[in-house]
Amino acid sequence: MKHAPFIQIDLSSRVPAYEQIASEIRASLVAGDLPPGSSLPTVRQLATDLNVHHNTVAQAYRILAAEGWLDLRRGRGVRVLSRSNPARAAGNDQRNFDLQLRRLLAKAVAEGVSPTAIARQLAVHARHVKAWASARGD
Amino acid sequence: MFAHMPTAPAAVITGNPVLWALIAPFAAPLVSIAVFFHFLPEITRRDIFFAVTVDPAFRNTRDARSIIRRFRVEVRIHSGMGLAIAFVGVAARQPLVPLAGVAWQTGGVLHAFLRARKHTMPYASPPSARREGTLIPRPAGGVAHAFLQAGPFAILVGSALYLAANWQRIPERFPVHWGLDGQPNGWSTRSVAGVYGPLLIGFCLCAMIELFSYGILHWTRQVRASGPGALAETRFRRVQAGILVALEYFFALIFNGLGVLRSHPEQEPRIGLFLLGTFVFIFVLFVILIRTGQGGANLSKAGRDLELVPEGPIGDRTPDQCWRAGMFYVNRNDPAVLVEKRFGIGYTLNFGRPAAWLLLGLILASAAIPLVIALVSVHAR
Repeated sequence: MKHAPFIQIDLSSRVPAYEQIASEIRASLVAGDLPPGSSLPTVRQLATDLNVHHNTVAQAYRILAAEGWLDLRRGRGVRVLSRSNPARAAGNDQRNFDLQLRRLLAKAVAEGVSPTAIARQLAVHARHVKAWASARGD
Repeated sequence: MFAHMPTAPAAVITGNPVLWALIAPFAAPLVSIAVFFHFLPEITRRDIFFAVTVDPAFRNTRDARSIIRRFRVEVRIHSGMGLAIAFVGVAARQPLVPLAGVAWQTGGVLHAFLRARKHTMPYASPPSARREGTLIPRPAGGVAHAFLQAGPFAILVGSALYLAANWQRIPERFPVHWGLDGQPNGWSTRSVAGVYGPLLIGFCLCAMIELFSYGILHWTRQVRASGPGALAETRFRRVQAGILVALEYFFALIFNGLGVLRSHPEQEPRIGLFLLGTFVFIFVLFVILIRTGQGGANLSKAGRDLELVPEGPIGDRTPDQCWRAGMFYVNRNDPAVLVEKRFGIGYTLNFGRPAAWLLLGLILASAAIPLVIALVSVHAR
């Protein structure tokens, strides 16, 4: 039996819960776990499962809707959209991504994650991103 | 029920089948409660131990085994005392004494549970800051499930139509309550409340179960979202939905039978069969729930052994300090209206949410309707 896609958040983290929720769902969208047309849980259900306030989940959904991932029309639930190509990232955004990735890698190495495991995970995520990009026709 | 009982000293109770028949309605729940509490530590989630969040590995320690052993000894002592009091009460023809036996056992085992909880407290795990949730909506039952759910209501409405069509066959006065000896001890008259009362009670019970079923689906938390525990929990939800539908049919058939008896006064109700059916149903229900465990904890090897799920945070996502006496949950900050009981079976209300009080009011109102109907329509003569 296939596992349903899920998210994990850490309330002790300095990153706000709504940002963590948005990041986790975004990762599932990019990985193709949530194809266009599929439904997401209601705000109430996800808030209950995560034991956070409704507004926290609603804020995360609004962020993803603003990015073009979700359709939040009232009474129709939360639907995944076939996202149109975003504008090409500006130079600053690419540098910012590079910086964040380097910091994350340094933190993982400092915490004792083996370089082999890091390389393996990066390859997995790169494959997901490529598959998502080719599905969009990039 | 005691009026027709033969006079007999307690010494000859073992040889008297009538006394055995009278003790059975008390002995069956007493034994059932004893068995349930014996298995109680086995049916909770592996990381909940006597209503305290613990590391799953704690169960295998000497301290945990000692707590369970003491708890079971106390359960046996209080259950034995309860049974002895019930036996004496029946033999002495004192109708309130067997009820005192049930009260003794209930109070005793609850006290044992609270003692075990107190002994477990020092081993409590700190609340996990990690949370997880599935990204798929709760599955709706579908058309087949909706038909199944409509069945009990259709049975009751069908019986009401049958009674309306056979109104003239219903006698002016008919028995509606019988003692364990099969003799009627309560009567009603041919009125709307008297004739349709049982069907209305059945309808209210089925509606209450429907509401609860909806609440479990939409207002509860899926505790495990990852690993084998998530699959076990999904299976458990299906089992649970099936149990609730079976419970609705059980009530619908019982109250349907009581309703239709109005138009067939020559038929005597089979009290023994009714009691036997009830006990068998409750026994099967307990066996299923013990075998599944809370949230499907016993459904598979993976579900039983949380050490196989290192990713999942510990606990049932409710903080220990929000549980009063390990039984009542009060947490304003938790959006869940219904949460898993820490007892091991079923759900309880989160009394920190206003919606929970509204639900409690509805449940009490549903329970009051049968009482009102009984007061209005049932007479001692």
